[in-house]
Amino acid sequence: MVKANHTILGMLVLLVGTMLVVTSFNYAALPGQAYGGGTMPRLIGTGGILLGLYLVVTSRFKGRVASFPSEGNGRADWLKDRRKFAVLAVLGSIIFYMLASPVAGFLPTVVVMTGTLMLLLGVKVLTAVTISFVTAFVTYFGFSRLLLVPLPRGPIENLLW
Amino acid sequence: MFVQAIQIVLQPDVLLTIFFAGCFGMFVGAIPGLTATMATALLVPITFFMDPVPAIASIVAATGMAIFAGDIAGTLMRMPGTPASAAYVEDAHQMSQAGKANEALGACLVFSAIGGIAGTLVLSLVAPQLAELALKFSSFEYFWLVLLGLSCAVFVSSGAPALGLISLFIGLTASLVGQENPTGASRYTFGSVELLAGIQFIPAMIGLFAVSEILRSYTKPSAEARIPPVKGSIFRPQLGNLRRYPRQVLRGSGVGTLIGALPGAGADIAAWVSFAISKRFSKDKKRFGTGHVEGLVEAGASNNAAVSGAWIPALVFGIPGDTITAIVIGVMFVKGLNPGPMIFIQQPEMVYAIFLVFILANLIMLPIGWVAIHVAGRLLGAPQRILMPVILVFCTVGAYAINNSMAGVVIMLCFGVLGFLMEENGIPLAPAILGLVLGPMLEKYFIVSMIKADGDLLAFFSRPIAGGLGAITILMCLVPVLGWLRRRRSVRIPEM
Repeated sequence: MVKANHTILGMLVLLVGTMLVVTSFNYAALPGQAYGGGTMPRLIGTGGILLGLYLVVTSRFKGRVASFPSEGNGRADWLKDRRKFAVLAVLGSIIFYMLASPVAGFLPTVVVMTGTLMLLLGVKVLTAVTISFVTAFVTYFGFSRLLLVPLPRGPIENLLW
Repeated sequence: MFVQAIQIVLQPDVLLTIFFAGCFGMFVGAIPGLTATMATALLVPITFFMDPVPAIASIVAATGMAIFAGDIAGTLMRMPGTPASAAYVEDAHQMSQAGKANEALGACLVFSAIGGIAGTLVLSLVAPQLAELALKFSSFEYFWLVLLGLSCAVFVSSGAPALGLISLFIGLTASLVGQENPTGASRYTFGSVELLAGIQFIPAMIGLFAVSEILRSYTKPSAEARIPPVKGSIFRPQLGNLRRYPRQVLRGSGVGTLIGALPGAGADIAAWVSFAISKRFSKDKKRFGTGHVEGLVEAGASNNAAVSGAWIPALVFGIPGDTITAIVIGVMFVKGLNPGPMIFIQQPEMVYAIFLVFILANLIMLPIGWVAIHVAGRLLGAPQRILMPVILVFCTVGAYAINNSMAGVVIMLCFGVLGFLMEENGIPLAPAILGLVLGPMLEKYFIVSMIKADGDLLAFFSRPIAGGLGAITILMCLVPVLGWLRRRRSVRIPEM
C-alpha cells in the first residue's frame, strides 16, 4: 500500500543520519573530556550515512530506479476503498481521543471512538452500540476504579462516581 | 533450615496469595498495553498489608505470569507484551496462523516454567558464586553484551540484514531523545517537557506492534477475518519438543540465568541472544521465522530463566537486576528483609522460602496458563472488525497509564504509523524496539569505557571477558558478510 524501494529508504536514512551528525555539534562534551552528549548522535548518524549510501548504491547497482508512488486516479480510488479509509479512521480516532477525552471525559469519547470504527467496517448498529458501551464501562471500571489510573473525567464520570 | 522454609511457604495464606497474584499477573500481562512492571508496581501498596513471605510471593507469582501472558497476545495477535517476547513473536504467530496455536502457546508456557525453575535452582545453588562473576563485569563487558544483544536482533530478524539495520537505526535514533545521556543535555526534545525523559519504550512498543497490527487488520480483504482458534492439547506436543530439543532447553536456561544475573542486562538481551544461538546452531535454520518451534523453546526458557537470574545480584548484593527486582528490593527493605550477603547468614530460612516460592510460582503457572490460553482463545475468536476497536481502547489506555499523560498516547500513535510503514516495506519491528530500550545503556557504557580508556579502543579487548564477548559480537556481524561474499564467489566461478 505504501511501499518505497530501497533507493528512497536509503535516501531517508542518509538524510536522518546527516541531520544527526550536523546537530551533534550542538551538544557540549563533558568537562575535560572529548566525549559528551554529541558523541552517540555522531556515531549513530555516521552509521546511518554509511547504511543509506549502501542502500542507494546497491539498489542502483541492481537496476532499481527510484520512483515515487504514482499520482492521478490512485488517490481517489484509495479514498473510495472503504478499508483504506478505515485506516485513516483508526488514526483519526486516536487523535479524537486525545482531543476530546480531557473535555468530554473517557466514557463518551470511547463510546464514540469504538462505535464509529465498528460502524465503518459494517458491524450492525445495535451490536456496535452495545459493544461500545460495554467496552467503555468495563475499561473505565477496570483501569480507573481497580487499577487507580486517573482516566479523564467529564460530566458523566462526575455524575456516576 | 530447609524444613523451616517449607513450613513458612506451605501456609494457606501464602499459597492463596501465589494463586491470586498469579491470576492478576496473567490478566495484566495478557492485555496489550499492560506489562509485568506495571503489575508489580500495582501490587506494592497491597503488599504493605502482608507478611514478608506472602508479599514477596505475590510479586514473584505476578511477574512470572505476566511475562508469559504477554506471549499469549504475541502468539495470537502478533502483539508481544515485552521486548523479550518480540524475539520469537514471528515464529509463534506463524504457528498460530497455521493452526498450531496450541503447540506455540504450550511451548511458551511449559518451557518458560522449565526455564524459571532451572534459573531458581541455579539461584539456590550458586547465587553467591555467580554474583562474584557478575561483579567482574565492568563497563567494557556490558558494552559488548549490549552490542551483542543488538547484533543478534538484527541478524536473526526476518528479511535482509540491511533492513534489520534500518530498524535498529530507527530505534537507536529514537533512544537519543531526552536527557538520559552523560551530560544531561536535552537532546531532540524540541522544547517539550514530556520528552525530557525520552521516548518511553512501552507506548512505543504498543504502537509499533499493536497499533500497526490493528492498522494492518483493517487493510485485510475479509471483514469476517478472525484469529484462528486454539485447538488441541497444549501440553502433549511439549513432550515431543522436550525429546527433540533437550539441549536447547538447557542452553536457553543457562544463557538466560547467566545474562539475567548481570545487573541491568535483563530478559530482553537474554531472549534475543538465545534465539540467535538457537538459529545459529539449529539443523533447521531456514525454518526460523516461518513458524518453527525450536526458537520458542530456547528463547522461552531463557526469558523466564533471566527473570530468576535477575534475583542473584538482588539477593546477594542488593543490586537490582532489572526494574522489577528494583521494586522488590524496596518491598524487602520495608518488610525487614535486608538483601545483601548478610541475609544468607541472618535469615537463611527466608532466603530458602523465597526460592521455594519461585518454584511454586513456576509450577502454578502451568494450570493458570492453561486456563488463560483457553479463555483468551475464546475471547479473541470474535471477528476482527469487532475485536480491533476494543483492543485499540486497551492500547490507548495502556499507553496513557504509563505516566498518566497523553504524551504516551502521542508516542503510541507516531510509532503505530511508523510500524505500519516499516511492515509495508519489509523492515522488521523488533530491532527498533530493542534499539530504543538498549540505546541508552549502549551509550552509557561506551562513554564510560572511552573515558576510562582515555580514547584507546584496544582497551575494549584488554580484559578477557570483554575480549571474548567482543570477538563473538564481531564474528556475529562478519559471518553474514562472509557468507554473502562466498555465495557471490560460487556464482562467479561457474561463469568462468
